[in-house]
Amino acid sequence: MREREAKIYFPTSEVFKLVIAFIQKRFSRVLLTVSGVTLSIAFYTTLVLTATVSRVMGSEAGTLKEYYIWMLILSVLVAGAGIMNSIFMAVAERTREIGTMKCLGALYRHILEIFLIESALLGFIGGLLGYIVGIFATVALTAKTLGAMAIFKIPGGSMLAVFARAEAISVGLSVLAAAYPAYRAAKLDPAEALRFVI
Amino acid sequence: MSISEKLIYTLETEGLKKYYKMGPEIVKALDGVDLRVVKGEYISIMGPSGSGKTTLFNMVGGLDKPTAGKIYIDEVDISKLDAYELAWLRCRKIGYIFQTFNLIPVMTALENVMLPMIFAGVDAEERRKRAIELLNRVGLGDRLEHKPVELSGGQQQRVAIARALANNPAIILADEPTGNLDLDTGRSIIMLLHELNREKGVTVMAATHDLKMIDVSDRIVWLRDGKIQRIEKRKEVSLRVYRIEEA
Ligand SMILES: Nc1ncnc2c1ncn2[C@@H]1O[C@H](COP(=O)(O)OP(=O)(O)OP(=O)(O)O)[C@@H](O)[C@H]1O
Ligand SMILES: [Mg+2]
Repeated sequence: MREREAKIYFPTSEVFKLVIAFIQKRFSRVLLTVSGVTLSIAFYTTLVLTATVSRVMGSEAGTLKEYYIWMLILSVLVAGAGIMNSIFMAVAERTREIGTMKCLGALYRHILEIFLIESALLGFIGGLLGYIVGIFATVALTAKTLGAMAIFKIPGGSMLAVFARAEAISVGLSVLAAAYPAYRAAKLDPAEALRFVI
Repeated sequence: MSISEKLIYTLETEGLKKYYKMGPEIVKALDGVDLRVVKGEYISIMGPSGSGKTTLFNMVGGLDKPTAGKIYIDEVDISKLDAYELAWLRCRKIGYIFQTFNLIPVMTALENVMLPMIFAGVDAEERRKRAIELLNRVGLGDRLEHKPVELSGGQQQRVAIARALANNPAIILADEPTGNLDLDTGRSIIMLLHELNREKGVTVMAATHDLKMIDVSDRIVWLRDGKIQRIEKRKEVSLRVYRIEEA
């Protein structure tokens, strides 16, 4: 092959443009995916924040009880399953599109780049929304027992730490969930990817 | 022999085989196909359902791997290419047209035609200019911002044709390009492919069950059970048709 000219291009700026376009134009589908992530993270955030509020307010419920740890593990599992399911389906249903892109010259790693960046973005947005929903849910849940303003007693640093953990879970699991179907579709011969039906 | 007399083969296959394993059975989708397609030729692949047309396309298009045999595109043996080189080949050397159009649903006509040029490293301005030119050429100059769902089948196939031409490929592979279209629309798509073949000198290989393809083909390859049954030149075919008309 004529070595020098045999080059495939896909600059990161183009990857981002494409991902943004995909997200914008698939908005209603994206909304569905993101809401799956949002709900999961909202559940997690609410659990952690209510416990934190109780602790700062010196309430009994805030002490690190065994059941709380179990709830936390459970919430991460639920969040994980929700996120994985949403993202996995969103990628798998685009296998044929991946086949088409490979026909046009996309490399295996381009496909991965597109889907990993896209899922990271969706995971981030879902994590942010979930965190916000979680704050409101916490206020609603603790208003009666500890007062509507109770949440403001949590130090900013702790709030930030909860946010960081929520995003880490959300982005991390989203990317992880996208990796497998994207990897599978990207590795397929284009002929097989084009034949693919869910 | 002078250089100008030497035939240049855009596509050559030697003993091309593709077997599928279906449980204990082996399906011989292609069973020893030797084919040579000259640069600039318009060649039609005809044959009943299941004769191996799509399989042949997937093999010569580098979309799937043959069980045995060789495939040369522009004299490069594509079985020797790694994944990177294959992607390059698909990007630069081959334009694909599918029965189901296969446009990217969320992209406009213009964006669909520009996509292969991104992979080819064409800069943004040039990309846009060239895509508009191509869409004008296929008669969709007023549909640039339409998405596939906002276009008719025939129009979608025109976008696909413009996309296939984006990087000036050596060969266009069209697998039943009219399969999902009505008779008249199908005919206009065939005429368009024929015109582009003459105009740009791009080699075209089109699979079909559709006899109206014959008018525009330089040669017709008849496939049956994964083998070439016969190859006819247009002259022979039209001569036969002529004789029949005469009689
Ligand atoms: N992925 C596959 N797995 C198993 N068998 C296959 C596969 N693809 C094709 N075949 C078989 O190979 C043979 C040729 O199929 P192919 O799709 O190439 O036919 P075709 O000429 O394109 O038919 P049609 O006109 O209906 O599109 C058929 O018998 C088919 O069942
Ligand atoms: Mg077929």
